[in-house]
Amino acid sequence: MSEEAKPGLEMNWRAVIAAWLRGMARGYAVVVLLAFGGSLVIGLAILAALGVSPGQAAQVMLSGAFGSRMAIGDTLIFMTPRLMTALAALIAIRCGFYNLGGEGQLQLGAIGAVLPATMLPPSWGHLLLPLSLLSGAVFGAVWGLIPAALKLWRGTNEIIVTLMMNFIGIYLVKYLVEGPLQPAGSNFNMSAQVASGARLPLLLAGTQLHLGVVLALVLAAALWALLYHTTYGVKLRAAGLSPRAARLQGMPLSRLILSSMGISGAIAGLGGAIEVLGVQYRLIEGFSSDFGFDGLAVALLGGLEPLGSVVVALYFGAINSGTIALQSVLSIPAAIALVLSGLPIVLLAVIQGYRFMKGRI
Amino acid sequence: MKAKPFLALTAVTKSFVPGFPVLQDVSLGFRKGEVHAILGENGAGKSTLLNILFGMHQADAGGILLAGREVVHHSPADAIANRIGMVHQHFKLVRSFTVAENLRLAAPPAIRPSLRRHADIARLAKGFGLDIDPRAVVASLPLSMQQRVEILKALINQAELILFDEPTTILNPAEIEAFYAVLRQIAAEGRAVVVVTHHLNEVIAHAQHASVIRRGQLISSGPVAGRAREDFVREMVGHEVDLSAPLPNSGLGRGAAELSLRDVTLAPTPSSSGLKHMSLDVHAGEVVGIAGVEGNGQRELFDIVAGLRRPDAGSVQARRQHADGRPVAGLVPEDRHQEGLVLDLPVSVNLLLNKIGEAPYARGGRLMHGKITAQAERMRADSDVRARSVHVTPRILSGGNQQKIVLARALNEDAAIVVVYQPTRGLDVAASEEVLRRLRAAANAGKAVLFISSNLDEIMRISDRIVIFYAGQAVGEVGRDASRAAVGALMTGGAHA
Ligand SMILES: Nc1ncnc2c1ncn2[C@@H]1O[C@H](COP(=O)(O)OP(=O)(O)OP(=O)(O)O)[C@@H](O)[C@H]1O
Ligand SMILES: [Mg+2]
Repeated sequence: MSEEAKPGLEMNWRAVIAAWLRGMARGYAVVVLLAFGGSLVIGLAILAALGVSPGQAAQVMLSGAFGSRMAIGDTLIFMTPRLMTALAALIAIRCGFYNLGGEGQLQLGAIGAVLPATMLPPSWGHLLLPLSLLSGAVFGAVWGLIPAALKLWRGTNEIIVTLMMNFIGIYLVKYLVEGPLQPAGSNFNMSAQVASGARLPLLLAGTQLHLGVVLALVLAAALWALLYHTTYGVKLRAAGLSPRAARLQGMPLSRLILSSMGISGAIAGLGGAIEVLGVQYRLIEGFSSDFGFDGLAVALLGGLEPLGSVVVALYFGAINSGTIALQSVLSIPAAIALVLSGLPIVLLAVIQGYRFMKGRI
Repeated sequence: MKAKPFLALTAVTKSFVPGFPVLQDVSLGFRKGEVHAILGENGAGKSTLLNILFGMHQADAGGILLAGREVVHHSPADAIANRIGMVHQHFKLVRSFTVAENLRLAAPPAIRPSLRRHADIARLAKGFGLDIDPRAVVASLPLSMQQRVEILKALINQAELILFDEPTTILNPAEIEAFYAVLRQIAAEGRAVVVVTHHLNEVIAHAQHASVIRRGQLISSGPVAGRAREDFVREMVGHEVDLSAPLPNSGLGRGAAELSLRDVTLAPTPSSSGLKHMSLDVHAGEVVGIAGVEGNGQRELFDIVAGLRRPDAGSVQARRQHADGRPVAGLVPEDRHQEGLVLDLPVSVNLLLNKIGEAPYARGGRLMHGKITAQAERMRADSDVRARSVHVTPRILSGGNQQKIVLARALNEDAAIVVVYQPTRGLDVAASEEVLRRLRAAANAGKAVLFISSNLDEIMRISDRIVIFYAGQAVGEVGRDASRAAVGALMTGGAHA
């Protein structure tokens, strides 16, 4: 993660491209491209083994992901939660705190959003949306602060605590939608619909694309600026890279960990809120298809960089919509998506491991 | 007629960045049975040379001749196969494994069976003069013992040429003697030994052949016999350097106490002597040297003054303190990689790490990159940090240049107190002189300097007062004109003052 000091504050295209080129120079971007390219090739080879013409499969996937307004909308909808959880993961990990709890924080965020969105009087209208988003972020932040506090004051291992708290979050949602939040007389494990004033506005006619995607992209840019252009960001990176050196220069390690976990949990929580307010309009058991875990993968593949995560999350979104098309057009199980999103990680680990053994990194 | 070299470099040239050659046209030969010292300033290219031999880097031009035959080392595996071993400055051991496990891991399959029993390993090690407990977990061993594991790794791989990169910087004087005894034996058994070091006394006492590199070029290569320290220094630096120039104090006497420790006590642990009723004042305008055998409370003193640990009893007072009670002080810690630097942030940020949140480097929480770069450039020029730019990371700098960054930051602090711990470790002779000169000048300009070191010569030259540590206690204090023998006796607990 070595890097050069960033020149100005303005986020212009030149700066973005320059940042990518620097990444290229380090060889990382090339490695990631290899990993993704390799995964697609292997994935298509698997399809060929299943008796599907790879050319046809590739075409179906491409058009399913980007071929129409509707396809692009789906891809971006699928990208959004993974980008949110990736941003959540990377801000904590860059501070040296291995937050594997994005899934749980996302679940809590969904609960936080659905409470005001279903309980407050619908007459509050459009005030409900910011209130519900805020509430989701706060719920996620609290869920993130618990393992941070436990580590700082009781010395617990954050990897275990964050991981286990995911399950508490998932089962909390299950409990709520089977009980307290289930509308009277309903047999479905879901809450009531959120008030229309609490819903994220749609962006693109003829699609379900909602404002959440814009929120996620703005957040990615904001995190980039935070990391590279603020004193908070440079302290956070110093603490993550070399806690002992940071501490010797008087940097408040505990406060940095607490605040970064607060931010991390809030972002993941916001991700959950966006799913409830933009996609499902209810709290539903199993609404997240492991977005929290996908987010970790996205963040790591993206080099723990906000901008890298945007690109990787887009790939994950495209795989998601592309394989749905595969399923409906060619009747290939959409589980192939798991292969295509898992393979880059395996290939990345193999390539980096090879480079490491060869002494190149 | 001298024997033919076992291994030779022919006109090796290397640059990491086009246009900035690190080695130029270097030709060198290493003979069996000899200890061959490589000397040069920080950043001269010594480590790079060793790394090329060991296959970690590849030369851009030139090559390696092994017993007269051209060989290419694409990776350390190739070098090991050609019977070359290397003991790096930062050890490559699995810290959670035992000594025996580390050795088995490194051994070629054919040899592994002979390492199955702990007793066999112990016997093998003893045969090389390297006593070690094969059951010990590496992380629990002192650095001198970890170094032995590295040497054993090379020997088990039947290395005929062993490369050492600054092996003695981590050793105390007694360990250094033991180390060279091992080297003599290894060489006498018919191996070639190459040692990079900054300590000319070691070269004169223990090496048969010495080569000097200056800014990537070979200046000389020949027998050590008949040569003096000054000759080597002149060749390394390119001009005369007075290695015993006096470091006079200002003559104005000392000012108010800037730092006061009263009755500071830290409980001892198995790995530390703790501190016992330590009382110490450091005044403006003076350098107080802390002498003692390593491990007698020096680390604990540094940690307490730096605010890394709180005393169990007693008080630490400074005229200026941070909000959390830590003394405001410029700090040079012992471990530059873990505590001194953030190796993966730019040099500019490292130079200003203690001020990065303050004006003018930050405004309203925003980093002022222009101001940071400008000030970092100034500090880099002042301290002669040889880096291509302040935007590179310290990770790619030579060890000596890394240390210069840490020192530049400590002296740039507007704090009245400067606390240094082994400040010249890994620095070349000229750079060491420069560090001592700068610290003395800082004291003469009114700073209070606490100088903790295991290098008694330096302590004696720079200090106004020397406090001697033994078993966590200050067992004596002597002035500028004390004799070495008197200090030495106190250091070993011989005579209590
Ligand atoms: N991977 C790298 N990328 C770029 N520059 C490098 C790299 N490794 C070393 N250098 C540069 O090569 C030069 C020589 O470095 P080297 O480590 O060989 O010096 P050295 O003689 O061992 O110094 P020291 O005594 O301080 O250890 C330095 O200027 C260093 O910054
Ligand atoms: Mg070196």
